[in-house]
Amino acid sequence: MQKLRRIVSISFLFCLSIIGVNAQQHPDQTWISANQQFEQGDYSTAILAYQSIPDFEKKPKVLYNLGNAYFQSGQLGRAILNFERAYRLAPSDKEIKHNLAVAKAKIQNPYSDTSFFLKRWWIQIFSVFSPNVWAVMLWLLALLLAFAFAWRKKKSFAKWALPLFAVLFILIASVLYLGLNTIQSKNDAIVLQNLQQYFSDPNLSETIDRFIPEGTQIKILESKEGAVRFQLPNGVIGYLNPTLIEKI
Amino acid sequence: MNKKFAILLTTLLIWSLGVWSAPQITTSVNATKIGMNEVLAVTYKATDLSKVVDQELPKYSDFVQIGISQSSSSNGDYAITVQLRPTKTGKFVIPGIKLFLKNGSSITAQSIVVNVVQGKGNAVSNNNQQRGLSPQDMFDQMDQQMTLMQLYSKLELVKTYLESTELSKYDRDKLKKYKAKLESEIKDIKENYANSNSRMEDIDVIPDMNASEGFFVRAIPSKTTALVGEPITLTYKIFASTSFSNGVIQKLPELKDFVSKDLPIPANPKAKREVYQGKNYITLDIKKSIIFPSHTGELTIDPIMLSAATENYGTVSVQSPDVKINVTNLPQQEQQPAFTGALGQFSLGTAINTTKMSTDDVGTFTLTIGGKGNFDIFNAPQISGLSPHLLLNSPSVSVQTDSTNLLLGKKTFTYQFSVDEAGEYEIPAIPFTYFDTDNNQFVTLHSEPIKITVSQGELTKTTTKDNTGQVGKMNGIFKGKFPPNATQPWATSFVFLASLLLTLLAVPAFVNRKNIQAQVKTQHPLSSHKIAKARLKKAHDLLHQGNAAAFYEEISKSIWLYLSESLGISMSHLNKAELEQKLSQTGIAPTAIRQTINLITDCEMALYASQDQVGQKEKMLDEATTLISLYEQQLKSKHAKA
Repeated sequence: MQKLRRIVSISFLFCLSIIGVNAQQHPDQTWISANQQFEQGDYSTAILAYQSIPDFEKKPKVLYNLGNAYFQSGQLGRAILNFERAYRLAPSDKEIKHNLAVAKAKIQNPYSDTSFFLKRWWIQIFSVFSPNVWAVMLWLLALLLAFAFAWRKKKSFAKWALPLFAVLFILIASVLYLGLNTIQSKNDAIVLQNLQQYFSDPNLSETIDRFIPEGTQIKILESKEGAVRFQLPNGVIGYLNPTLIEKI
Repeated sequence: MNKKFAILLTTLLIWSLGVWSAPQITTSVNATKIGMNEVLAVTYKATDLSKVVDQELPKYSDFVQIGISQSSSSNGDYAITVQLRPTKTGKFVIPGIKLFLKNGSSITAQSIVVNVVQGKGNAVSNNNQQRGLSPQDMFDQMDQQMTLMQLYSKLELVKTYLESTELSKYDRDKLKKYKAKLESEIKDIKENYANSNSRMEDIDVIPDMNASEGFFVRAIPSKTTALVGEPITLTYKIFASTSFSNGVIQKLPELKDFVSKDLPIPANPKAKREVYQGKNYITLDIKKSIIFPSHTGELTIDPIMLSAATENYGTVSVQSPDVKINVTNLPQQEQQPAFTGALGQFSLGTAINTTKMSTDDVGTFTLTIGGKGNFDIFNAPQISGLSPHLLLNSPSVSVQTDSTNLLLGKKTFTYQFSVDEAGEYEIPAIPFTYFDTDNNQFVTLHSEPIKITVSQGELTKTTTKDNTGQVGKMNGIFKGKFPPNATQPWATSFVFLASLLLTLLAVPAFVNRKNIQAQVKTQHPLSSHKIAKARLKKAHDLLHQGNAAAFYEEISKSIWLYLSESLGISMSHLNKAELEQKLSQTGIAPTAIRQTINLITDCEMALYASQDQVGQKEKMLDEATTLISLYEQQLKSKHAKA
C-alpha cells in the first residue's frame, strides 16, 4: 500500500513538473509570437513580447526588432536607444547600422556632433568589420611585426616591412580600441522625450529654455540622486532629471 | 532818390524789428498774499529763448531761496520757477529776472508786490509749490518711465539670449552679471516711483472733474470703423493746460479684443501744442500701438490710467474714456479659399536651397510675403497639390518689420521638406489671397512652381510603412531563427591581450635564439680557445704545485669545454661517442680524434687511479696543448671557408 502511495506521489510530482515547464513559454515561441505581433501592427504587444525574452538585452537582433517596434509605435527615443544598444553588441551589422541612422535622421533639429573629426572617422571605420575580425587582423599584424623586428638585420625586406607593419599595427589597434571604447561606454544615454528646457544648476531650479529633441544622445558626466550632469553633442553642459533619459 | 532811400530804410527797420523783436517776459507768483510758513513760487516765463544768451536772477532780500527749476518747450518758451520762503511779514517787492539778449541789449521782467502775513495766505498748496511743478518735471518722469520700459526690454533680451543661445561659460557669466545690473536698476527706479507715490498720498487729491478740463488722457485710434485684422494705430495722449509732473501710468489697457503690438516711443518724447475742442493744450504721446481687431462687433478700447501732480489741480488720477471700434467682416470673405487673414498690399516670393537632391536629403523652401499690412495676423498660405512622396514640414515663421512703421516689412515661412522616392517633383504654384485695403478688394497672387529632381539615396533603398502610413526608410524586422547572445569581443579578453603581447615579445626572442644557435653552429667562438688556454695554464701551475687531482681535472675540462663550445654540443649531451662522431663530421683527422679520446680517458684513469707520475703529466699537458691548437687551426680554417 505504501509502495502504491509512493508511486502515485512521484507520478503527481512528475506531472506537475511537466505542467510547470509547459506553462513557461519557450523563448523561441516568444520570439516568433513577438515577430507575429509586429507583423500584425500590434507594436505595443510586440514590445512587451521582445522584452520578455530572457537576456533580450544581450541579443542584438532582439534589440534591433525591439527598436523597430518602438519606432513604429512612434517612440523615437526608445527606438534609438534599442538600435544603439543593438549596434554596440554588433557594430558591423548593416541592418542595425542602417536603422539606427534612419531613426537618428528623424530627430527634430538634432544637435551637431562637435567631437574630433578623426574620432568620428575611426568609429565609422571600426563598424566596417566586427570587433573580432579587427582583433584577428591586429594579431596577424603583431605576428608580422614581430618577425619583421626579429629579422630586421637579417632580411632586406624587414627594413621597409618593420615601419610599415608598425604603422599598420598602431592604426588597427587605435581603430579597434577607440571603437571598443565607444561601444562599451557606460556614460552615454538617450533623451526619451522632447525637452523644452534643461537646467543650469544641480538643484534643477534655474531653467535654460533650449530645446533638446527626443532621441538625442548625451554623455553623462556626473550622476546624483535627482539630477544628472550631462553634455550635449555640441559640448554644452547642463542638468536634467534622470527620469527623462536612459543609459544605453 | 530820397523816396527810394526812405523805402529801403523802412524795409530794413521792419526787417530788423522782425529779427530782433525782444522776447516777451512775464513774472507770476502762486499767491500775492502768503503766510509765514508758506512757500512763494515766483515764475518767470519768457518766449523765444533762442535770442537769450544769459540771465541774471534778482536778489530776494527778506526771503530765503529754497529751490529753483527750469523748463523749456520745443517752441522756444522758457520758464524758471524760484521757491522762496519769507523771513518776515510785510509787503515786499519781488524783482523781475534780467535776460541778456544776443543783440547786446537786456530786458528785465516786471516786479510783483507780495504781502507776507502771519498764518495762512492764499497760496494754492505749499506742497505743490515745493515740488516746483513744471512740464520739465513731467518730462523727467516720462523719461524715467521710458527708461524703465527700455530696461525691461533689455532684460527680456538678455533673458532670451541666456536661454536660446549656446554660450560659453564666460559669456553666460557676463550676461548674468548684466542681467543682475538691469534688475537692480529697475528696482531702483521702481523704488523712486514708490517714494514719489507715497509723497503724493500726502496731498489732497482734487477730483478729476476739476482736472478734466486742464489735464486728461485720451486713447485716439486712427479709425473707429475697421475690418477684422485691419491695423489701427492707437495713441494714448496726455492733454494738459497746466504744468504737471510725476506722471505715472497706473494701469495699461488690456485690449482683449485686439492683437496689439507696441510702437517705439522716443526716449525723450517731445511735448506739442495742440488745440482740442477750441482750447490750447500741451500734449504728450505716452503710448502708441498698432492694434488688429480679432473679431467682428463693437469692440472697446479699454482705458489707460495715469496719475500726475499738476500745478493747478494738485495730484490727479485720470483715465482715458472708453473708445468703441465698430469691426465688420470682410466682404465675401468666405468666397476666398486662399485668404488667410492678410490685409494690406503685398508681394509674394519663393526660394529653394536646391532643386537636385537625393531621398536622403532635406531641402529648404522659403515663401516670403512682403509689403505693407498686418504681418502679425495672417497665416501661411495653404499649399495643395503636392505629391504624397514630397513631405513638407510645418513652416517656421519669422516677421521682420520696419522699426518705425510696424506695417512695413515681410513675413517669411520656411518649410523643410524631404522626398522618399526618386523622381521628378514639383512644388506647385502657391496662391496667396489678401484684401487690398486701398482698393477694397481681394487680390490673389501665385508663386512660381518649382521643379525638383530627386535621386535615390543610400538610406532609402529598402522601405517599410511606418506608423503614420507614410513610406518610411526603415529596414524590416529580423525574422530568422531565435538569435543567440552577442559574444564578448575577443580584443577585450585577457587571453587575446596576453597572446598579442606574447607574439610581440616571444617571436623576436625565438628567432633571435635560433640565430644564436645558428651562429654557434657556423661560427667558432674565439673566446673558447682563450678559456682553454687559460685552463691549460692553470693545469701547468697545478703540475708544479703537485696537485695531481686538480691538474687532471683542469686538463679534462679544458678539452671537454673547448670541444663542447666549439662544436655546439651541450655538456649534457657530450660523451666520448658523440664527440668522436662530431669531430669526424667536422673533418678532423682520425688520429687526432683517437689521440683526444685517449687523452680524456687517461685523465679520467689518472684522476681515479691516483697515478702520479710527473713525466706523464707533462706529456699529457703538452698533448692537450697540441690538440687544442690543432682543433683551433682546423675549425678556424673551416669557418673561414664557410
